[in-house]
Amino acid sequence: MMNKIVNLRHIAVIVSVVIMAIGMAVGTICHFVSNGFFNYGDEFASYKSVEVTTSVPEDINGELLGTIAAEELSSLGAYKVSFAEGSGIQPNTVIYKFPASASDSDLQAAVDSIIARFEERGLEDGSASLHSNTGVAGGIWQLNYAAIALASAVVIQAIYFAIRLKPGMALSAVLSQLAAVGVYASLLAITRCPVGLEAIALAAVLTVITMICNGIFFGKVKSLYKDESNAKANKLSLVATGAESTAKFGAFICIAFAAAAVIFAVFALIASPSIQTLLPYVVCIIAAAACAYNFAVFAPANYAQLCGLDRRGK
Amino acid sequence: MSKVKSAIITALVVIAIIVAAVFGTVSFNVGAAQRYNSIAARIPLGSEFSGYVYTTVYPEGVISANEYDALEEEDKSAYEQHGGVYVSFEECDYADIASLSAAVAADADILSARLGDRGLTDYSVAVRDDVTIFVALPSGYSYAAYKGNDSTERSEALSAASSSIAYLVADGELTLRTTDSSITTDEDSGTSIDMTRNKDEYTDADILGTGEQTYPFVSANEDISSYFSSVTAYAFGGSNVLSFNLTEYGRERMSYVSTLAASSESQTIYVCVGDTQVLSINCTSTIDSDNMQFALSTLSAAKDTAAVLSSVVAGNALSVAYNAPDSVSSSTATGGENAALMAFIASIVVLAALCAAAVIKYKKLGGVLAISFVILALAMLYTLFLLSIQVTFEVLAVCAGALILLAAANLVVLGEVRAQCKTGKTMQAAVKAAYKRTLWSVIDIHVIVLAAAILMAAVCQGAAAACGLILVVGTLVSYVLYWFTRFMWYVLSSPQRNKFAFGGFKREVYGDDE
Repeated sequence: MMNKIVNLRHIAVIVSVVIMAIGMAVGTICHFVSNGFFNYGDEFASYKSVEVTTSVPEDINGELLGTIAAEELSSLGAYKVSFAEGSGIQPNTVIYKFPASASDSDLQAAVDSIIARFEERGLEDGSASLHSNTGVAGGIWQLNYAAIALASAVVIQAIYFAIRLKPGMALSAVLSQLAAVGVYASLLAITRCPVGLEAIALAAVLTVITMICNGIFFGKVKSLYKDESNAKANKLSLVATGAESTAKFGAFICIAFAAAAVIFAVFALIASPSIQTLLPYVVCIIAAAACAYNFAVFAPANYAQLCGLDRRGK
Repeated sequence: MSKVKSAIITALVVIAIIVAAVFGTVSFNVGAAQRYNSIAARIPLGSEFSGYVYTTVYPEGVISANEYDALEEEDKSAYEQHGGVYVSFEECDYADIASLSAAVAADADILSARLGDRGLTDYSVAVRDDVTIFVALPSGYSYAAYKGNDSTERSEALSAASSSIAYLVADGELTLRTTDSSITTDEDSGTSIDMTRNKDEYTDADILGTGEQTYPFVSANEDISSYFSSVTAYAFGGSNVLSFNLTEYGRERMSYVSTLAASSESQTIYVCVGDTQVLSINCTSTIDSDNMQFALSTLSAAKDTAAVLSSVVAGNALSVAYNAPDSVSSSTATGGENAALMAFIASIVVLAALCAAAVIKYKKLGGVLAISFVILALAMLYTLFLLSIQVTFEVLAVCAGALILLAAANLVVLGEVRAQCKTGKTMQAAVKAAYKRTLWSVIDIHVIVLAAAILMAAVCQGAAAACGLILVVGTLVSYVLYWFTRFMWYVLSSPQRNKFAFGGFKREVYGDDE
């Protein structure tokens, strides 16, 4: 299998570039016709919200509030609901969050209906109001710092590999990191999974996992180079052998990560059964897929092209 | 190593793990009135597991629908509706919605940056209805507090979050104030300085909550923020320190201000941002230093103060005058009422699955790997507790990453041991050779992951920095456990009689051996 990938290395690299190009194209089109290059999450996006309150003396545990708000608002496409139980003068509050594209007239009609029902039930202190919210990209600060840290880490990895291993391996490791993050970002743009702080943190985890996989792969290839019994073997076949013998480690890492995401997703669904709950875990699986593709296809193919830069022996 | 020694060492390791695991994960009642909350139940949780503390900040002249409804009819005429709120331009400093909303949007950016500087793992800021700011911070409850098993911690966490919001939304410029209307600088000559000459817009405001007037030490035209180059907060030796670095000009001016304060009756400098007092400095002598350090009661208070002062010192004062938030609300967990419990069970299931896979594949040796995985998980648990890192989805993902790192390092070795066994070596010889051959690969992956983790911890902010910190610990523990596995391999395999088969490995049998 690895022999085929190494032999078809040009195609393997082209496939990666095509995936990234498709992601760029989808993202660019969505930037103009939809909600942005990525489908941004809560931290970055604008949204509408309906805030409904009742006072504690009139509605002790907020049960009436919860019932009436759910009946009027749950069918309008809310993606997040949060409840704050009141105490003293602090009212019971429920906030429904809707996408920015939700209809103002539908939401206002629901708000009016809630107020009317509060009056019917004698909840004189009850209120409901519709708000439009523009997210301030606080996460962007974190994104910038995370990007700087990870870019620096990739550079340090390249220097370390150049000293400890071979220059071609160092260059290949950098390219493979870029490809892993590029494929991950493209898959996020294509699938329109919401990009929030989780997606950014997972990009960091993906980079770290790619580093581990690269470390194992290049370490193995170097040991094959050093082995005198391989003195007459073709370099490409050694790359393929190295990739073949380390494939199970890469597969284990990616499958273990994806399996852990599935287990967490199942339990998260038990806690809060909604599609919204699943989304961060879908992003996890996308990250694992990007890592697996990189380890199984891009890294061996890419290094097969660059292995001419490296000399055998110590 | 003898069988007895091997058994004793194995038993000690297992007992230590069981004790750490019990105290780490099991909460129980101690007598009728007291309860022991486990380490896991005392770790602060992110918003998906414990909910948000949130409030809406209203500029002066902007009120909510509820407040509008409570107004007298004649007062309502001054207000016009804008989205879900009501605005009176008679009571705010702006002439129209466009200019007010532009100023509020700029302030929201500054506020978001302050929250980032504060080092919160997860927060959100939104401009609501163009003219108000919605701020939400993680409540930071532990599981025990969230479930009501630790009411003290719950009220402390809520109070810390409320205080953070109150400090971070402080608007206006930095001033150094005193309650003394005149200060006698030289008692012999009777030289007295009339502080009312520096009267400013905040003089009549009840900044101290005592009804006393306060006066700036220096003219309102003087830019106090130029006194300081940076303000930071840190914990050291049990103290929570707020540290100011002064500029050359600042040192000279602080010397003047502190001389006045030391001569005053109150002997206090109130450091204020607008009409919010953020620090009070007891000053009995002249301060003449490049650096000023003060101990605060909690690290949270020190960080809040540092974040707001850093922002103002950098020239990012909030330009709109806001009403102080009346109160904050605390929502249920965004991931569902039982999200934290479910995440904990999922973590146990993942760990159990990894351990089971190791035992099935490598028999007794798998047991050693399983012990390593459990130790790593416990190390992560205790680290989260000791460093007070809020557990979020991202932190859990990084913990899983550290577990995978340990598993990968051991898999590399085990693969090599299998290869060495096939060459006809005894188990001891195969293990020795495998560890030797894979040493650099394992060091390589730990070094590069450690470098990435250190950079994340040092450079990033908020969630990413917390992830970096936990990965630093995870990587170091993983490397130590890699050698622990080697040690346990030796402990367990030494008493074995069969030197050619152990832990699912078997020496390749050649024809001439049979």
